[in-house]
Amino acid sequence: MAKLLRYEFRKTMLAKIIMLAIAGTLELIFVISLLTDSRTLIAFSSLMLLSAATNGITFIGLWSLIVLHRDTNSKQSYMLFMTPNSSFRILGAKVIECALSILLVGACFTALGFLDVALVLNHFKALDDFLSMIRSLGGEVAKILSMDSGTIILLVLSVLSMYLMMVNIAFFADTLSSALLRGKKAGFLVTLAFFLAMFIGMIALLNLVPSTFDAKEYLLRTAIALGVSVAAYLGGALLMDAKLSV
Amino acid sequence: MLESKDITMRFGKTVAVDHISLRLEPGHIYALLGPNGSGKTTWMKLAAGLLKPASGEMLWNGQPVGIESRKEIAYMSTEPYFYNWMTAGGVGKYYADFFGDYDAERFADLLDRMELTPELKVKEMSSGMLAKLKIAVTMARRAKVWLLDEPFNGIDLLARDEIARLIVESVDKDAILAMSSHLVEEMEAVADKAVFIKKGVLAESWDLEELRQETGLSMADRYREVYSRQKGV
Repeated sequence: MAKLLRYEFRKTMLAKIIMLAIAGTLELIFVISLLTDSRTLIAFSSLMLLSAATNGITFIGLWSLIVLHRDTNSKQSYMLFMTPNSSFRILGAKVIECALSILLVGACFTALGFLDVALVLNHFKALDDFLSMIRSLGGEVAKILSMDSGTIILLVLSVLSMYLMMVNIAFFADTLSSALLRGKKAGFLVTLAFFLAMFIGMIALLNLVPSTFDAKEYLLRTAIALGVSVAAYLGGALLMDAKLSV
Repeated sequence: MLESKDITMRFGKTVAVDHISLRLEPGHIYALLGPNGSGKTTWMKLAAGLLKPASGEMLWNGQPVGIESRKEIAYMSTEPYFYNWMTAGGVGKYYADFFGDYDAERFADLLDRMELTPELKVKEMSSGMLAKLKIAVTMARRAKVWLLDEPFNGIDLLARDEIARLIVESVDKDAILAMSSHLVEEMEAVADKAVFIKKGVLAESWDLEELRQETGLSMADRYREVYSRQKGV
């Protein structure tokens, strides 16, 4: 599995280099704008960084999906399927790569966001005010939601399991589309259509869970998302094993 | 022993392999012959465990082919399949990572004899170079069975004899080598068994020495007889 994973990361390396280059360029513009005290440029680069962060995560996920589509619909599929690896391992490596890449890019942009906020506040000498505001806000939020640490952990888990569910549904959608269309040109569009339909369905299912903002709600959401993830992963691997031809 | 028992494969309504029963014994070189669409490639993919049959069985040493048999059965497709970002050396590394029977020294030697270098990038290689790289990396495995689909495709006339010699030299005495090709004369020089597949059906299977003794025909002559009937000549 480790070797498969290493090659999966190599296949998506270009996407990460592109994101790194975009983030680096925007960050450079942002720092220059701070140094030159150009408020228009500060606002512009901040907006662009925010946009890169949100779209970058989608871009990384989409790139992994394109790699899966190419791996199952081109002659390159031999590189995977003639090796002594099961479809479960092959798909598993792809799911892990995609989930980790999204988390990694998300974490990088979050860290960059915190750094940039600190830089702005320091530049405008408002860091202390901001920190005290965050502290009071954090306290208020915690009071309103009455969350203990266990509930907060469950909330984080439910968000992460949602990400995992999204990745697994996307990969299942592509395997289904590849099995049905067998390399036809519009295959990837069908993948996206399947994904959207399934994802909207799953969101509707999750919305049936009452919003009580407590541990029970997050536990239920996590359980549903993980259950759907496992079902989509198993379904994708079984389809890959039985229906995909190289 | 590699054995297909009454194996059938369909793609939609098309029957690509139709109830083929065939045994490939260790120590022999098989020529899988037939025109385009006769079912040779599909049979090889079934033997490599890359396709699942509609009915029948494909067995390697009595066990159904699958993930385990891929450790001992080396398959080479007719089309290039390497990732564009790889180098020739990287392709070797990939095989080393996934196949326990891969021999890096043999790969280096085969690359050298095919006038390729490890630094060459896949995306910059000609079709002939890719064909040689495929053969080098596949034959660098110390497999029990080699299934080579049209190994001479893309290789120029002058290099074919040398490539055929390299392939045969790389095969251990107790291994099975099966090659499909349209180049019947080239195949006759190296094979000792011939399998004729016609419209998905096993038409004939011969020991070449017996074919010559019993019919007085070469493999190429027999090929013409078998397939000219198909074309109604």
